[in-house]
Amino acid sequence: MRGLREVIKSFDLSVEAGQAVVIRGANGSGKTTLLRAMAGLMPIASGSLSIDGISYDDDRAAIHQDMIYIGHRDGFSGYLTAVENLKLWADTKGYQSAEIKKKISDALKVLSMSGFADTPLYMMSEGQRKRCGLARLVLSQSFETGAKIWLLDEPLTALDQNTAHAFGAVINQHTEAGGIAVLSTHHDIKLKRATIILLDESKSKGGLS
Amino acid sequence: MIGLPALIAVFKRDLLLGWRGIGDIMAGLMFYAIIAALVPLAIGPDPAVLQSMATAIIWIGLLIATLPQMEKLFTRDAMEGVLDHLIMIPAPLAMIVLAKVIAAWMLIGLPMTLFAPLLGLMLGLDLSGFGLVMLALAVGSFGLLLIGTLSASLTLGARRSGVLMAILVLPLAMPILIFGTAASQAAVNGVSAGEPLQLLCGITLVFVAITPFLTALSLRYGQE
Repeated sequence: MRGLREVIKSFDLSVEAGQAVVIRGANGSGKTTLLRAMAGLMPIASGSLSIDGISYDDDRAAIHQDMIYIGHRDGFSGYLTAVENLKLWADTKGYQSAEIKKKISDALKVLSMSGFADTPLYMMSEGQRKRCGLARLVLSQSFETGAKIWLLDEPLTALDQNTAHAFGAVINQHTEAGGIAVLSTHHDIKLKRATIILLDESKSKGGLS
Repeated sequence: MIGLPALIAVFKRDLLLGWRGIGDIMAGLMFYAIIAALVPLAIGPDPAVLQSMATAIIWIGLLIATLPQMEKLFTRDAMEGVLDHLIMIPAPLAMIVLAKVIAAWMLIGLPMTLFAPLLGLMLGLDLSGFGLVMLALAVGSFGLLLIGTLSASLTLGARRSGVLMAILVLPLAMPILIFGTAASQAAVNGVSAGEPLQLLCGITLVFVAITPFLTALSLRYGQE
């Protein structure tokens, strides 16, 4: 639901551990709405959503603990540096470690952002901000309690080819370790164990298991 | 308590952001001082008249000077997508809101409280009983920020949110204004300020109990 308009009429999807799901569809077909609904940021008009048998009504905190959602905007503050943003985000997720600084710099290195660790985000280009946002995923991977479910809305927008490639490897690593990644994109991305879903505007219907 | 490190992180983040934007805080204090400086120009420099109105001016000034600051409490977070992450923190959203209110009070309410003696001097007040006035201002500004946070969450994304904020905040702030000025006037006059001060604390506690939950609801369901 978006306002009083039903965006996606009927949708049925079940995702197994170790699977990547790529959502495709024209602009306005409901990709963002679907991802936000999965993230619990938007109400579902009818039907249900459950993760390991737990729904948002049962235990919202438990689901969110195990989930990372990255939307169109990176969700980081422009006046804070990449390291500050990542550290504070890790704290909100309860990721604590004596080596947190090293873990953060390693995560930034994977997305080739090492040189910008102490740069405030407002000074960065859009692609660089995006990379900082995605560094959350790599940082989460470095913790045993890292989130299993990744919901990514257009993660490849504004990324250059090399970074997009490195990012694909991060996703593959995640699903290999039994994680789930659901992402929407218009770009071509080669992922292992991936299922592609097409959201059709006219029918607004997609089904898969 | 579950999620305490998360709440501390939210608090630290807001303080750090406030510190980076220290100019906004200074501008707010200047605004507060200017309001108090304009009044003698309008009603004349007679010390007796000014003294009798001083506490009222200090409180009305606080109400007006905090409004533009409170309007921005969630706008930047919403614009940068930070709000989504706040909502998804595995801790009660009402507690996260409360952590943000405490941070906002340290950045807005506390500086204005510490700034108030200067206004008192400008209006010709004898500062001997001013400690209690500052205590009342500290409590009152916290209550004001609780109301402001709720209103900011309700007007988030609305056009002309500034006017809407004023319409929402000022009526709700009436009990704070009434008991705040009563306590301050009593303190300045050297009479016991206990009763109005207790009522001010009581009404602020009522806001503590209610507004974080309403703000959390508004943030969660205002996301559509």
